[in-house]
Amino acid sequence: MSIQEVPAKPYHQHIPHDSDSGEPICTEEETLGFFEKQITSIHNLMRAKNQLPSFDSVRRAAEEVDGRFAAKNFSPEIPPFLQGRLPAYGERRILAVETVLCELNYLTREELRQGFEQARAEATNVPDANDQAAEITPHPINERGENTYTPRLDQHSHCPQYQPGDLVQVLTHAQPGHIRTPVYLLGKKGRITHLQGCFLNPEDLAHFKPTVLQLPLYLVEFDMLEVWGDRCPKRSQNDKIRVEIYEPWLTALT
Amino acid sequence: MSNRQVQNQFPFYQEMKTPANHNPESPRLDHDHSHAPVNDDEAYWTQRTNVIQMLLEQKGYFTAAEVRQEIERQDSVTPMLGARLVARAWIDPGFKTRLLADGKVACREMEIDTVEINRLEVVENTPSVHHVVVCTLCSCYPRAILGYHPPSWYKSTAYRHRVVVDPRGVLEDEFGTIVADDVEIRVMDSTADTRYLVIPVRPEGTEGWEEEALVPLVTRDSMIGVAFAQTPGAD
Repeated sequence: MSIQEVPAKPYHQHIPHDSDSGEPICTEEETLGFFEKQITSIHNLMRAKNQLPSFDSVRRAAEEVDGRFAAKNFSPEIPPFLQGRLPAYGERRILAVETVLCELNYLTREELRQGFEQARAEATNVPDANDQAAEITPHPINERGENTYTPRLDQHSHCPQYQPGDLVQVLTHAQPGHIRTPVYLLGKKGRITHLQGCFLNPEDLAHFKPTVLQLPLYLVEFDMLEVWGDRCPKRSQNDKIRVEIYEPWLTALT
Repeated sequence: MSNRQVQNQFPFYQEMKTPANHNPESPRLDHDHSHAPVNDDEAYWTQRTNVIQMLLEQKGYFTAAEVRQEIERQDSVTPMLGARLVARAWIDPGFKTRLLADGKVACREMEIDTVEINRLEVVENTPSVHHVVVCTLCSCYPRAILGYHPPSWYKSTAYRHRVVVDPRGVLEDEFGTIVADDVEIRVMDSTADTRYLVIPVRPEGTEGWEEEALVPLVTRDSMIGVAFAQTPGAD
C-alpha cells in the first residue's frame, strides 16, 4: 500500500503560546508512568529499524489531537473519561503514535479496537494465559523494508539566500497544518546569526508529502523587546531569543 | 499491581531496575496478576499501550525482547554523559573548541552515541552570556546525552510559555538562579533540527581539579541553563 499524503485537518491546531501565562512551574519531578516509557521505546525502536519515518508526523498528529480537544470534536479513539480534561504528555503521545501507525498501515483502528476489547475482557475474567487474540489476523511483513513513506527530494531546493548579519522578518501568517516556527515570532524582526545547514522540510515530512524540499535553516536572533514590546520585562530589554527558522519563513529587510 | 512507574528519579541514577512481576518476554495481555479496573487512567493507558505492542509483535515488526532492551538502553542514558562532556571541556581547551565547533563529532571522541540527533550545538555560558534552553513547540531535548525523558517541568506548558517572555523571573523565582543584570540571557528555543547543550561556567574553587572530580558538579539543570554548576562544598 502506498502512503497517502495527509492534508492539514480543518481542526489542526498550531502550538499556541500564551505570553501572559502566570501558570506556576512545578519543578518537582513527576512520576513517569511505565506506559510512557513503553510507547517512547516502541516508537524509537521502530524508527531505529527504519520502520517509521522522522518524528515530524507524530508531532503533526499530536497537534491534531490538540485541535480535537480544542473543538471538542472527539473521535472514537479518544476515551470518554479524557474528554473533560486535556491529555497528559504521555497520553497525547499514545494517541499520536497510534494515528501515525494507522496512517502508515501498520495497524488499523479495528485491530486496535478489537485488541483493546479483548484485553478488557481478559482483565475482567482472569484469562487463560494461552488465550491469544484469535480474531486478530497477523499481517505479513513487507520485505522488512517497512518504512513505506520514502519521499522524493524536490528538485527546486535552492542555495541559502541569507548571510550572517542580514536583517529578516518572519512571515506574518502561518499556513494550516504542522509548522516549525513558533507563532509568537510571526511578523517579528531579527537578524541571521548562522546558517545551520540544509535539512528536509519537516512541514512536508509531517504530512507525508510525496516530494520534500531541502531547506536552508538559519539561527535567527531576536531582541526580547522586539518580540514582546510592552510586555518585555525591563530587566530583559537587552536579552535575546535565538530560534532556528527555515528560509521560506523569512523575508529580507533592508 | 506491579510497580510500572520506575524511572530515573535522580540525575545520575544508573542502575536499571525491572519492575516486579513484569515479564517483558511475554505479551502483557497474559501476565499473571489481576488488573486494576480500566476506569483508572493509568491502567487504561497501560492496557492500551500493551495492545499496540502486542499487535505489532504479532505482525513481526519487533519482539518483546527488543522493546525491553530499548527501555533498558534508554534508562542507561543519564545526564552523566553530558557531565562528562562538560568536565572534559573545562579541563581540555582543545576538546572544548572541538565540542563547540561540532557537538556530534566531539561526542564520538567520548564514545557517546548521538545518531538520533541531527545536529548538536553546544553553547558556552561565560561571565557575559547565559544560555537557557526551551522548546516552545514540543519538548526537543538532547535526549541521547541528558536522558530520554526530560524533566516534567521542561515539558510543561508553564515553563514553555514563561521562560521565553521572562527568563530572569523564571530562573529566579522557580529555580533560584540569579543571573546578574549585566549578563545577557540568550533563550535558545529549540524548535527545529538542532539540539542544544549548555556548558555552564566552571565554578570557582575548582582550579587544578581532575576531570573525574568535576563531573559531579555538572547537574542536568546546569546543562539546560536553569541552574549554575554546583559550587564545591555547597549542598
